[in-house]
Amino acid sequence: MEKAALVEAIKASFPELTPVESGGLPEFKVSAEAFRPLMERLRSDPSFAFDYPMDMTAVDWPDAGVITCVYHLYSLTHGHKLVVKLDALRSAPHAPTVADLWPACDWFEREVYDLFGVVFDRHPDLRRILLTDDWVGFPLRKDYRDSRIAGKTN
Amino acid sequence: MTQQPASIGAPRAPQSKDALKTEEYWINMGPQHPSTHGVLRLVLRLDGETVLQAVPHLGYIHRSVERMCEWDTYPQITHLTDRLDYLSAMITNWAWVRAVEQAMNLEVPERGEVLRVIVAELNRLASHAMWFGAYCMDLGAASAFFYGFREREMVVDLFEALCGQRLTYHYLRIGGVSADLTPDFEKRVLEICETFKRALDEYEGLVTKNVVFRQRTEGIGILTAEKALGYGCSGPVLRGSGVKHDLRKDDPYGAYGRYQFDVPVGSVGDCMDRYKVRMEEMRQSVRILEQAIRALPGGPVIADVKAIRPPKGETYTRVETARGDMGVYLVSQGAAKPYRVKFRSPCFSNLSCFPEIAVGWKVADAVSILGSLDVVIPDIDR
Amino acid sequence: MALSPAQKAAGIVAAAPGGQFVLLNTEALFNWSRANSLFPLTFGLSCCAIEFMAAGMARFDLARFGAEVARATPRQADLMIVAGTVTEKMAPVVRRLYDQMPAPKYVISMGACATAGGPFYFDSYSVLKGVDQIVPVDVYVPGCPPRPEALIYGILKLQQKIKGEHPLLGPHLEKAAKAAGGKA
Repeated sequence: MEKAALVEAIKASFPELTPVESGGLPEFKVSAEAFRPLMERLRSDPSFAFDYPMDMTAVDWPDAGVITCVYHLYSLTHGHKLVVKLDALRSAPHAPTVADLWPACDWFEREVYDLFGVVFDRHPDLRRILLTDDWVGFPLRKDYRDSRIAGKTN
Repeated sequence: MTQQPASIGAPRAPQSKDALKTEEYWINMGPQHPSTHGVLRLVLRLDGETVLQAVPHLGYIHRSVERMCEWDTYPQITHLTDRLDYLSAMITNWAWVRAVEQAMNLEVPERGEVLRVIVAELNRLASHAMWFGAYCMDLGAASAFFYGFREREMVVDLFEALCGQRLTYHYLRIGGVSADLTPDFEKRVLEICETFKRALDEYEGLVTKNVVFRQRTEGIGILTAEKALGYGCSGPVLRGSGVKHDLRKDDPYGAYGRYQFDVPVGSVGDCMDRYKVRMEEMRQSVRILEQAIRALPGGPVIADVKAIRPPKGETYTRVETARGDMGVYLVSQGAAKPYRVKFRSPCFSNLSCFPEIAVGWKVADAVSILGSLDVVIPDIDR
Repeated sequence: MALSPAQKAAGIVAAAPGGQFVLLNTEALFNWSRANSLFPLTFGLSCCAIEFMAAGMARFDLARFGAEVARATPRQADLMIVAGTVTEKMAPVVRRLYDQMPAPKYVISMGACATAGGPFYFDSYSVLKGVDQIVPVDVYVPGCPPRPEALIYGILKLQQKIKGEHPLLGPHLEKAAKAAGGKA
């Protein structure tokens, strides 16, 4: 589907969403309530057919008080791409899991939990993946301080 | 030769009083292990020799590269990307510099683009040659390791003449490449192409039709196309399962659009298919090299760029490394240093399917499956 | 057969058909055999591991120096070449492997990361600033990654070191014995 047609089709089913364009890709920022229905629809609807979870990560915005979870989805069947963003409050970051829709997101979400501290509700096995199990803190948050870091910005 | 994984949960024949009493047990494989290709720890639950559950533990080489990227300037980050997937360091460099160029709308001169394709394909050859050796050594055929390195040394020598490094090149820079070719480069590339054609025939003769090799790879570790897609697999792992997805063809970047080459795919998704895909990819790389080196455009090799400050925004770019789709997600706030960089590692997703496809096979088969996935652990752990 | 002065200087005491007789003390003999048959532990952590493998391959050939038999188990190895970055998570494993190696054992720290943390020294929260924080290192080989020839040079330096050490007390106990005022 062409980018414009894709955006229109998603807006038709989810009229409350506002598309933006970032870096050449169509992007939707969704609320926590609309997130699961949107993702399930993107996965299951044959006209969307987002069968390939390209990437899933997070960005910490301390000034805005949110950690934004960013999902890059790709459809190998149709060749279109989409970015979905979900904001989680920094004070108590939670997000619904999509590990049941795309098995790749199992490990992607574990990584975001490990490095940002976002808790994914109903994730099958949410534990740290890259750091030791007893690590304190979430290193990719902007306010992470560590005496091990010898360099300038600490 | 049909092979089946042991059926788990199948009703067992009623045990006589003389039957052996067996128990399941957990063993640890790694992080120091000759077959885990780096520091990967696999905890396996076994029933005898059969794997019932495989739990990978990552992070033993987590070097916080993404955090470091927030404190380094854009050109400084390029040297870190070499150390991610160091076996295709040129292409990993490309993933990063392409992200910055896309964010800045910077155009790379034509000669720079063609040189990038040439070194990327040479790197792919070197990486697959080494994978071939390492895979055969995992299966027990240690001599093949020497053969793989013999060919790899030719490519690595050429890279050393070109940019001074054998492994972590830092040859690609933002805007182009760092240096132009040496005078005998074209001759040496054509020699490498001829050598690889002969070497691949030799490997086919020695290994591919070998009965032991076939028994250890055919029908083992079958990854269906649907599962491969769901797990986000890419590269030869995805193509071995029959999905014809190659970024160089589907989403051409650089100068790839001007060269003719095929994309090999498997059918079943077993280890033999992944092996065959990589061997054929080497032949296709040779094909691209021969086209590229014979039609080199003139001009500068790097764009004249003064300040590298992508404007505020974000971008997502991907390249096809020897292992699959490497993505770079770059968030910039208009400063000299990025706000957030995420490296989408192909090996991370490729390995995530291992717990599912290794179940039911023996430990030795698990080694074969892991080898066929071709994982480089620092790429996973970043 | 008469011996030349050079042969006598080399310690040869008599020549025989097919060989020679050499007079050595046992210390020199033990050290010579240890130095020339080092069994490295296959311990590649990251990029330096590839150059380590290349050093063992046909072109650079560690077998010339007796060190090509890389054992996977620390129980059979006497040289741990730490090739690559040591992270906080990996550090206990490195230490455990070192402890599992039987004495006399040697450690070569290969590459900038194992020597001092490498490119990850300043800004990384998870990288150990050198493997010598957890195991005693005999030879440091700088480079990122060091060429296979550089690694071979490091192994030759280690062989020189071994040939000069006390054969029973070994490399590290000798220092401790000296420090304690005992006979070295």
